[in-house]
Amino acid sequence: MVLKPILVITSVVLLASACKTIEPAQAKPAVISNSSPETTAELTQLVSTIYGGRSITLAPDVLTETNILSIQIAPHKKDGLPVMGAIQEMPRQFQLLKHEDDCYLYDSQNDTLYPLETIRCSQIKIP
Amino acid sequence: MSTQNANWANRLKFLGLASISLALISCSSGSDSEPNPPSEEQLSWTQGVFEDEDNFKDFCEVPRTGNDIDGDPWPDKPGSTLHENFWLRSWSNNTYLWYDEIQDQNPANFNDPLDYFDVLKTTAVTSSGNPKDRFHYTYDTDVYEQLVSSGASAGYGAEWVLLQASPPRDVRVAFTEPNSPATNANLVRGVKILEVDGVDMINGNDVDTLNAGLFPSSAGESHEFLIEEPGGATRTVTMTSAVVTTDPVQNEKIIATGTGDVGYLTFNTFGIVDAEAELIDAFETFESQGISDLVVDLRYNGGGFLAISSQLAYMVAGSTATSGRTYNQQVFNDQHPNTNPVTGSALSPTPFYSTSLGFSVNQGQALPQLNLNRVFVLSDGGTCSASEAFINGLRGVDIEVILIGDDTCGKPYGFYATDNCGITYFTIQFRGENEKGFGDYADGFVIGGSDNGQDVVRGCLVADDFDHLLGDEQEARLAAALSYRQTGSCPAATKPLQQETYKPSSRYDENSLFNSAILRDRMFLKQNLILSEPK
Repeated sequence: MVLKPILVITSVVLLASACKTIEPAQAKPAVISNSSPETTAELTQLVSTIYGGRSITLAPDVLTETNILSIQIAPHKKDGLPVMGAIQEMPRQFQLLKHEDDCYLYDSQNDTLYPLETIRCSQIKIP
Repeated sequence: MSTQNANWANRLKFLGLASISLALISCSSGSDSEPNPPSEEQLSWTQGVFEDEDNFKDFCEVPRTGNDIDGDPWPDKPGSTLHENFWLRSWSNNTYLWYDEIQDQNPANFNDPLDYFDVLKTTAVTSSGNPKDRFHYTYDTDVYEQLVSSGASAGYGAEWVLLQASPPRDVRVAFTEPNSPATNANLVRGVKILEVDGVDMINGNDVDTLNAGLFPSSAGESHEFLIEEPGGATRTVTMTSAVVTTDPVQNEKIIATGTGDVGYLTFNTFGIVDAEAELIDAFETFESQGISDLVVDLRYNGGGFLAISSQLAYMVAGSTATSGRTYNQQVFNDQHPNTNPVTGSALSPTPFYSTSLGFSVNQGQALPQLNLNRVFVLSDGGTCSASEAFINGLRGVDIEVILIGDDTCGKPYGFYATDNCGITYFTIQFRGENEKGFGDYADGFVIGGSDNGQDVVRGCLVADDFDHLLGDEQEARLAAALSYRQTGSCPAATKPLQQETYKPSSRYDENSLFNSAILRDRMFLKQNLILSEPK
């Protein structure tokens, strides 16, 4: 009986936040400050969702030293040599950004900020 | 330095995860009307007459459902093996570099597109007798399009080298990655593998167990190894595979000599974005120290991002030698002299990039430059593709490259991975040429006593030295480079110049001279080759 109103209120908040817009300068580059298997799992799930549910392998230290997450096709080898030895294209890149106390993964290809739940982050300076 | 601002072209929107699936659903609807399948006439083979490949694209024997790597629905439509074969035929005729050397065969005679693809290539050989085309591949698209964060892979972080793939086998550690299971187990370069999970590596018959232990397919696999240390002691180690991050630049150092400081770095792959930042860091140090010579160790570097190899060449040669000049020019077949037939864009050369490009360093920062007029490259059969482009690009602007080690792999070619009906095809589509229009090194850059300005490069043939760590001044190849720098000649202990060298990619080709088991046993084999059964 109590759950239903809570769910309704929660949905309203989510819907409101889904429509919220911020100025670009409000979100700043950041790195993960509480890296753990749980934060890697959350990122993995999110990026997999962005890629339509494909499985993806992330290094455990992603976004801890840089705010850029580069995703590329895994290197394959034939007879000991990389199949793609002269890659012409840039990898797809995502960025970790912070706004107030919240951390987001920014996908420039879709111009979308994805809020992160378990990840805490620290703003970093850009040279 | 390794950060990047967002491209704030638009205002940002918050979007909950719950909205993603809705967005995907809304994007996946509303497909256009189905194109007409090829007519019977179009599926009738007339030798030498080729329909537009687009007429056959995505008409599949077994159309896929689901989404592609971009989240869009697969474009597959109901078709047949014959449709797929006709697409292969037209696509190859349009884009294969040596399209006019393909023997046109009736697609209806092949019941499997993979079998048909196998014959859609040249059968010519190079002057040395190797197949002209050693890079004709396919993958299941689902297998090929595995995604990773740049540099991540499941394994031990040990690079294996198979000095001898057949019994008596000799498998060594070439190098290890920092913070990896291999490093934690104190595996070092030169360690020899004696047993894997109780199976004798030297003479054992259970090849599957050996391969499964050497090359775990995922993180979390534990395998037991009996190893022999470089000093001869043996011990047993158990390693559990993990997701390891590759460190592309290692052992960067400055070696003081009586005739000036010499910079050295081990550079194992161009294919990881961190390479940009790590190279810049190393070269800033080299620049500030005013080194007089540089040794770039590319013996295990099979290539990667061409743009990063251009940046490396710029940092070696500097702006005066490279400004306005071509680093690498894609050349397609003679049907496409001006336009890239895959992207549709006008052909333009890759320059020597003088700034960071945003791989791992914010775009537009000026690169350090050493302004050297020569560079020593430690090379081997694993020095391939973008690594060879580095050598060729510098030689194109008259920077002397001195090779120490062994001949390079011979891959001046490239392709665009192309999916059709669940198979990703790799067929050679372009050649890379330098400022002088040279790109003809299908047999690799061959080490010689003199330099012919093309594929024969001055240097010393020196065997790989597993008794010393990479970057150790006593390691045979680095020592030879330092010695050559002083004396202008190769050390007496180097290999004879005329020694026949192994070309890894020719190993499984039926026409290769190296398909001989006896020869193979004597060859230097690279990592990841499947171990062969005992004779």
